[in-house]
Amino acid sequence: MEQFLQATINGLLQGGLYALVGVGFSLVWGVIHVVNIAHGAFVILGAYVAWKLDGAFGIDPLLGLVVAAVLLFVIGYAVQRGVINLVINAPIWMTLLLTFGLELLLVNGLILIFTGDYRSIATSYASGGLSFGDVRIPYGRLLAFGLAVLLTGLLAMFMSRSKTGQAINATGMDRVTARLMGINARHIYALTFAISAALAGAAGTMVGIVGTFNPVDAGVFTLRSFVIAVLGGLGNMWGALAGGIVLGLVEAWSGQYLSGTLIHAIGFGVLILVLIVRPTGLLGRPYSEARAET
Amino acid sequence: MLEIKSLEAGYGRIGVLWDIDLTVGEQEIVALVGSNGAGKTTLLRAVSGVIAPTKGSIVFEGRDLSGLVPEQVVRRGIAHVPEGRRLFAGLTVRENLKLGAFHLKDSASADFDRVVELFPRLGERLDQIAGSLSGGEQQMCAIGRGLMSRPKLIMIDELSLGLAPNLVDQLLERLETIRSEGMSVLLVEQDVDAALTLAERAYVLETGQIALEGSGDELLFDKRVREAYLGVA
Repeated sequence: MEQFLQATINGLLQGGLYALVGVGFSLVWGVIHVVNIAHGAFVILGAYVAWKLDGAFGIDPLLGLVVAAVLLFVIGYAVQRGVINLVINAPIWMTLLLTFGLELLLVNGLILIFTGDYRSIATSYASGGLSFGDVRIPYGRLLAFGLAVLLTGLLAMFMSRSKTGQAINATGMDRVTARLMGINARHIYALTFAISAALAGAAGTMVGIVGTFNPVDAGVFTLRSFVIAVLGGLGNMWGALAGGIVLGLVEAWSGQYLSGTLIHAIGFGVLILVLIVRPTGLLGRPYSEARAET
Repeated sequence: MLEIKSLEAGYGRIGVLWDIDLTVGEQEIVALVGSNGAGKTTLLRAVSGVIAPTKGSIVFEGRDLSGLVPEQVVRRGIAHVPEGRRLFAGLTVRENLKLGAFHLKDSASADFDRVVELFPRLGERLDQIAGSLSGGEQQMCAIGRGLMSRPKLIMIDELSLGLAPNLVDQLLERLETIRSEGMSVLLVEQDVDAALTLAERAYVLETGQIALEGSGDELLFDKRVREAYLGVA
């Protein structure tokens, strides 16, 4: 029982972090219809930024997280505005190919600079924790969870309450009509991609604080983002949170009771199951209804 | 106010409009009628910057609109209510209306109140998802959203599309109100009878060219118009 409880808590906390990993991916896919294969690479890049700032300049990882997020925001904006916008009207395969190329570029660039060794960001607080009997809650994971939920909530509020968030929604639903309203769609696309990348950078830093990472992990994080986004419902921020937590729990439980090699198979199994039972995702609205075709 | 001169436009290499001359004056309601595929929508799209004309000029209030993208044209004071309403279906009526005022720096609350006054039905449905509105309400919302941008000229594409005749009459009446508030209206219609009855002046577009122009009444009693569009000899 305690084993189960520990696995559940681990899964829950890890799931919060997964939500932060996947929410930006879901935003970009659901709203601007770009499946960003490089999303996982953005996560890992964020981890390396905070790791390097800590190692080379002794900058606290939480400050490093902010720097990573800002840097990724700028990179994300430039990538969308300068590159992806060029193929935004092309078939989805073009954007897939483009972001896949970007992923290769980033991952191999990181291997070249930092080697493929596993790294981790050491903090004084991540190792401590709360104990309830035999069940332990590490501070680092608690912090990651709290931050993930906070940022996801802020993003959800931004999307539904702010004028810019509404413009992002409108552009995703019908780009031409959004432009007739005076919305600069190119800028909105770039901004959306930038927000997504910034969140990935923040998530990456937390990944580095609570565990280890190396450049090749990028692919796994993209796959997880895929599961989280579809599980929760594309473009739905609270859905991504739910999707992240479900994936975290499933991974933790299967890691506890089954062979570790099965973890991803189980994760995708859940995805397939959800798609069969509820194709719009856990919290998704029927997607086709929310979008006008051009 | 709006002056279109020898305009040619199309999609890619396919020309749709040829040598179009059209004007809309201050506080004037102008109708543009014609059959499917005549190029009416293309003409509006060229004015609002959705497509770039290949020849000719579009001048609004003395300033050339060529080279402007839609988000700039709306700032010049032209609202384009697109064919099929094109509401943001997943958002509420209120959100749709507010997006109409996106480019305005102020809160546009006076404009909002005015739209609700013009279309009281919308006032009852402000928090309803736009996709769940009836056709008539959707058209009210689309026109309201256009008015939210504080335009001097509003262009409405196929106001009557899929609506019951009495509802069309109601909406057309509102256009009179809009005009009396100081705006000009360029109305694209397939309901030729209703459009010509309302409009001061009208143009008949046929296969991308202006075939006829005149006052609404003139065209309404024109033999060719009656035969081709009204089904009476």
